[in-house]
This record gives sequence, C-alpha cells and structure tokens, in this order.
Amino acid sequence: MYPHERSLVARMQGKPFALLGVNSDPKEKVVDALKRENITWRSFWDGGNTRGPIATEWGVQGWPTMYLIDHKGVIRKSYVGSPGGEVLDREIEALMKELEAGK
Amino acid sequence: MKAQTSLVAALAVAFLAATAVAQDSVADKIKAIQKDYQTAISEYSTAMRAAKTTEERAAVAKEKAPDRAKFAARYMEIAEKDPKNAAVVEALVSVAQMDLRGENGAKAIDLLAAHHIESPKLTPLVSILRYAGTESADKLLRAIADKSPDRDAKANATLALANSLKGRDAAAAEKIFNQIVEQFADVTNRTGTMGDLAKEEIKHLQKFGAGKPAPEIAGTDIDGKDFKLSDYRGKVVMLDFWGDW
Repeated sequence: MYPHERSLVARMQGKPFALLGVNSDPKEKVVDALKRENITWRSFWDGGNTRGPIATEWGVQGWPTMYLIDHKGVIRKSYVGSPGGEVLDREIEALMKELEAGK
Repeated sequence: MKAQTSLVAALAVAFLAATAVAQDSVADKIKAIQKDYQTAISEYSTAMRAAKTTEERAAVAKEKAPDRAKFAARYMEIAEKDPKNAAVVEALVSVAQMDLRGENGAKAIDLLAAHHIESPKLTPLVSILRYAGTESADKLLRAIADKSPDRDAKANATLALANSLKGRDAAAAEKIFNQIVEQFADVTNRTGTMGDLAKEEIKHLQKFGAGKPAPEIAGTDIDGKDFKLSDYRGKVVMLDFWGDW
C-alpha cells in the first residue's frame, strides 16, 4: 500500500485532504518504516500493538482498516483490507468534489 | 423383445460412457492447469528461499512470481465452454480467488452464481467474497443466501453479504445483520454464535457506520506531539489503521 499512499499524498498536495494513520507497531519499528518507506504523513501512535486504545475503541479487527471521512467529519466509507488504489482514488475524488461544491 | 432390451441397455451404457469421457476431459484439463500452477508456485518458493538479499528477493518476485492472470485466463477458457459442468466449479473458484476484483474474477463469480450456488466447493470462496466489494460478489452471496438448501451455507453467505456491505451501505448491512439475529442466531462459526456476532456488528455500525460523525481521536503522533482527528475538519480524511508487517 505504501506506493499508492505516497502517490496519493503527492497528488493531493496543497488540496484540502489529509492521509492520517493510526499505527500499531512498536516505536522502533514504526520509526524505521517511516524512514525506509519515505512516509511523510502523520500517524497517531497506538501504543505499540494491535490492542491499542484507538484500534480497540474503533473496533478494528483487521489491518489495514480504512475510513474515509468527509470535510464535515462524517464517516462515508470504510474498508477492512485495502480495496485497492483505484477504488480509494475514486471514492476520495467523489468526496473532494462534494467539498469543492460546498455541499 | 429380449434383443431390444439389450440394445437399449447397450445404448445406455455407450451414452453413459460418452458422458463420462466428456466430463473426464474437462476435469483432466483443469487438473493439468492445477498441476502447472502448483509447479509454478513451488519453483517460485524454491527460488525465493535461495535468494539471500532483499535485491535478489525483489528480482525473484519480479521474474518468477506465477502469472495469475495467465492461469485465470486458461481456467476461464475451459470453464466458459462448459459452465454448467460440475467439474468447472473448482476452476471458477480459483479464478475468483486469483482475480477477486478483476474482469475474469467477475466472470467466474457470475458463472458460479448462475449455475453452481448449491456446490459445497463454494465454502472457501464465501469467506473471502466479503472483501471483494464488487457487484458480482454481492450477487453471488445474495444468491447463496436466498437459494442454498444448506442452512449453514445460507447463514455464512448472509453474514458475508452483511460484512461486504457494511463499509459502503450501513443501512442495508444493518438490515441484514438484524435478519441474521432473527434467523441464524444459533449458527456457530470460529468466533462464536452468529447472533452475538451480528449484535456486535449492529452496535458498531451505530457508532462507526457510514453517515455517522467520526468519533474524536485525541492522541500523540510518532514524535510524541499531541493532535486530534478534529484538527482536520474541513478536509477530506483517509484514516488508515496500519502496521509495518
């Protein structure tokens, strides 16, 4: 997923969009991943394992799990397991259009 | 009269033999592809084990990874000629697994929905169809849920359909989870009874389903700096629960 996320972030630069992570790795491992994979987007650090407070509160049962949230803060889509870059791009684009239309 | 009977019997035997041969040849062709695929997989894993560096492994992945699209196309060529033949079910299931969201995958899933919803060989596919998120997958799950004579298969397909829909259409998913509570509460799977499972899912949808305001997250980033999900209000957010594994 890193390549898709990198290209998504690059394409959306300067637009009202944010990719935010909730990371379940131990600290050294995630620090290493940020450097190795050139991850520039921000993540909540969820305590070092998959039973962290945020993943537990959100009832996450599989990784990755993704939520698409619109500009009003409303959950619009969610996926357990990546649905693939194409689907994500299409759904994000639809939410960006709504934002631009001021809906 | 006697001669006539034996003639009929002989014809019947000949007919059965011909049918058996025809079936065998479809099954044999599929077996041959399965064998080629197994060979490709084992060659790939042998080469992977022999590779010592990250670069070598990347090269092996690029050059030796079995071309699943090619295998899927070979299976489809046989299955599309004789889609009703029970011998093609395994091939269609393999195609669906190899190409879950692709064109051949959709074709395979559609053929299974049209001709084979009662086959017990669909069981392993049902559990992964919930991740497809495609119209074809939902249609097959719906067909099994509606028409399978096997109650467990029906229950599992209904659960998979609700799970498939829950991220895209919370209202439809909630309706199906309620149906599971009413009809299949006693059916058990690895995680417990479907009744308990469905009730949990309904509770989850009421807080995290599409259309609900995203609950606040207040935490710290990797550098230890505090921030909140609501800091990003006014922007479209993709929230990704991830790990580097």
